Amino acid sequence: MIMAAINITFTEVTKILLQGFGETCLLFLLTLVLALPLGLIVCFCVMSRFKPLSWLMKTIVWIIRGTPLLLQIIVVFYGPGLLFDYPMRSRFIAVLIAFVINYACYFSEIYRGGIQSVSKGQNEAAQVLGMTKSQTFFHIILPQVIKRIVPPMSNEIITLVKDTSLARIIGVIELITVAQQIVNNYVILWPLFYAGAFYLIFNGLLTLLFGFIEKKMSYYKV
Amino acid sequence: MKKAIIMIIAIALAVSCVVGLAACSAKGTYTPLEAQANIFTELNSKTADVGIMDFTMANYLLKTESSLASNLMIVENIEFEKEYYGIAFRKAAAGKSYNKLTDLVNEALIALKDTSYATIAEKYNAAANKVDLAYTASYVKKTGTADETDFNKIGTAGKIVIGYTLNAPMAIGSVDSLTGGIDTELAEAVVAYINEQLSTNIAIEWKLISWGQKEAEMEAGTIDCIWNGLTITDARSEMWDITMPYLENKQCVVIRKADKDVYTTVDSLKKASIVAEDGSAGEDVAKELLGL
Repeated sequence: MIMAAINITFTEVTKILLQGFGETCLLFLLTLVLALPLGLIVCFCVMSRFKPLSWLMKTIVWIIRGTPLLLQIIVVFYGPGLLFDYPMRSRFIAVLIAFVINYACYFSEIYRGGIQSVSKGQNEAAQVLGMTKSQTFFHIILPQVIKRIVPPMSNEIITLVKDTSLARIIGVIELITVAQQIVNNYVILWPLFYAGAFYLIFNGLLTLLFGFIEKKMSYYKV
Repeated sequence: MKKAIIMIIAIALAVSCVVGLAACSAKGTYTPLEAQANIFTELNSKTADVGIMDFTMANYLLKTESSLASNLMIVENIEFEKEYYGIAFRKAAAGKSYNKLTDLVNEALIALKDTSYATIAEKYNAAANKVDLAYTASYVKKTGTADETDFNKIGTAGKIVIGYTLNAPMAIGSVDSLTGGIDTELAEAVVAYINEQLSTNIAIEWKLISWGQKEAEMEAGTIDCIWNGLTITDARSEMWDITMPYLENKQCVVIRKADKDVYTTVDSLKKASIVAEDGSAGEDVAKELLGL
């Protein structure tokens, strides 16, 4: 419905955009919390010594990283209904699943890089001290890995914030959708740029957060 | 530390479940889509139950018997108000009464009504939907001063940029070229007539747009005209200078054949999950139905 004759105020636009931004944040946080551990599991599978599992996981990671996220969202949402006759009822869950799988694969490659960059000497020293594999990993290797992967992870996480706008392809409400609706209803263009400012400020805060984490983690140089 | 991590993951999963379940029990929802044709995908994959779209398009596509169309049908006895298609140009500047292009196109349509227009309508099976093109009590010939800025701009550039979406049977083709369609051929006939009358040499540049962006594109000047099965509404008439109605249309309800007995009356639609194209007349109908 076009309401061109009515003017919308700055505070009203801010209120509407904040609602959309809330949805974006929800999607962002849920994806992050679920994709970080899943990425670790995928990473272990890829690095496993059981060849068939490693090969299978590498193929999956290749497919997920090699196809557009947009396509994956469409497949996750429309696929079950078209192929298996069991429709995906919730649009938000479909988007969440697509995002979690996609980002878990990207994270797994970053983890793998971090884990393989820790010198073998650490494993050997732990073995000499009589630590089990699991103890070695969680107490010695993982803290060092976390230190090393903060910069690449910050890249991926900032990309995630912006990728949430792809959810609009299946009609999920988020910041850009809401801004677009205002543009359409009131025939003005500035709410889109205002939405861009939301992303900019949020990413700025994330950048500061990552800088802080990096400083905290530089407690020793190996 | 481990306990904290496990707690956070559990909370995230719980929140996702809650959000997911909320969607399952939601009754009477409306979701906007990027394109009208997506309505067919949504209905086939059962992610929506009811689609509201232009009758001209639904009728044309369902006759093609494609794999997506064979499961769907139009609900016969639910009819919405008859609507009319018009062609939109930018509103005249303050102080002027109308956009010169609108008047030119009106005159061309009247001149071609029994010749080119009749042939085109026959070709696309739309002869029954033709409007008798003439000045009526509700649409009189434009009087006053004409705003010639758009006309001059087109004259200098040598072309008129018309925004379109792939909207069978109004515009048929692929994303880089149009091969036919009622609007495509009618626009060509009208511009040829105007060129003949005014000895100008204007070409048509067809620009593919997203229907939800048409307002922004007109405002920004990246297109000069919307000629793509645009339904005339009061709100749009206020925003743009629209020609006389040239084709009849109505919004219709498309459902899966399996749901034939479920959606029989307008009331039965109020509990369904409805989809329509973002920024379309179908969206207005859907929102009105659900009281949004």
